Amino acid sequence: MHKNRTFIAYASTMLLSLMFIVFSKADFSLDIKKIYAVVLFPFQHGAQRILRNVSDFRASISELSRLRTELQMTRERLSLFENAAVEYEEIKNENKRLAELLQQQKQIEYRTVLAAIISKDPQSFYNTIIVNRGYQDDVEVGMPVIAYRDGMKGVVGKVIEVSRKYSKILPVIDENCKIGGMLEASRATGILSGQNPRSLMCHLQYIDRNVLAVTNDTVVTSGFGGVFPKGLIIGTVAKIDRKNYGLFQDIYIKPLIDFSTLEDVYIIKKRAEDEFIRMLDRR
Amino acid sequence: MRRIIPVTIVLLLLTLLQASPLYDGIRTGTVFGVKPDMLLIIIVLLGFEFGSFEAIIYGFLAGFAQDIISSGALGMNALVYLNIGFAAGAIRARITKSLPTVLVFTFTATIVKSILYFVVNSFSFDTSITLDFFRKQLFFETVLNTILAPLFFLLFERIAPLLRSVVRK
Repeated sequence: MHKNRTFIAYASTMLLSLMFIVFSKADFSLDIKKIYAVVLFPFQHGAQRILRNVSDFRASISELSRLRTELQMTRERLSLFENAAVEYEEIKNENKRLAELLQQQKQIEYRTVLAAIISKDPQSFYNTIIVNRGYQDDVEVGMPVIAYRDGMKGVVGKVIEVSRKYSKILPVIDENCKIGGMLEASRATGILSGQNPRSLMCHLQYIDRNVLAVTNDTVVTSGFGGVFPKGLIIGTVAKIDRKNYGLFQDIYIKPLIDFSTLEDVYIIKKRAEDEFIRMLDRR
Repeated sequence: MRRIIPVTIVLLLLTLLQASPLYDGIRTGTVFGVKPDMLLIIIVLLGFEFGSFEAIIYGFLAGFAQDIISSGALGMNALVYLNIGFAAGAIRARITKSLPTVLVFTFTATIVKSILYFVVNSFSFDTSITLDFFRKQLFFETVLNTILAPLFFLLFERIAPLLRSVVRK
């Protein structure tokens, strides 16, 4: 009796799991995920807030003296930046004047929304990111996501699922993420894809093997594909694999963003079709 | 069966903890950025304590909860964890539950988990999974889980009589 019960439980759960695996690629189970996500994500959000509060409280006690020193240093830097801001305005105005002269198109500034990461993948294999912004904050599928590290804007990934209050982000290091990348020094463009869970480095492909790629060169978004604005930093060249055959070389990129310590991101409110609409308008 | 609800709630809370960015911060301090799998250890302990039938259900629910959050295929973690629960429960009748047994089984279960991930991903749709990934999980996560297992074993031994008494009531 007990063995039959166990066998039935085993067989039915195995069958269910296999069905989910098969149907998940046919998008059959996406709705099931969203239904359960509505229930689960508020708890995740709440749990993350509690954990963050506890962690912040502990950190606040130990970091008081460090913060005092940092405040003093920041004040000194601020005065330097205030001077730099005046200089920046002058340079900006001159740039505007020169751009008008050259009839260059002005770079479009997009609005961003700050989002806190409430959940990451429970296993070490993937780097799923779930944030606390959804379509009620005008977030849409396909919007690019960035974060700041050491004052620099770096690519995090793009939004792939949106519910009312939460969104799932596909990180740039994920093997399913492909974006247009460009080597800053040579301006050569290619397709950059993640390699996770194989590796935390990204793989830049279709760079002509005659292009002189150098290590530590910055890789930025090329703007092709209409998802990411041009010029966002993805990372730096870590390894170059130039084989003796083939048309292209393989370049491996160390991302700027450290995904294991990432806590907050910015979702750029840019829809992919906006670029195409603007292209059509310019004709 | 009455304990299924409280145990499931605990498993869901552990899933939330394991998915939290704070817990994910452990990856910065470890080789290859792996983190210990608390849920696997708990499923092993539940299997040893309550047998295959309950461990299958707990494993399936814990795995499914992870699948919802993860970007991997839905059902993959459910399949892996229910099998681990089943195996732990099946072995229960043959060996005495003790710390060394739990350590050995946790070690083995992590290896089995890595193999199942590799097999499922190879047969399903993530065909880019390579031996690098398998090796990374096989060694480093196995070590982390085995180190963490004694702590969970000692905690579980304190809670287990309470869970057993839920059924008797």
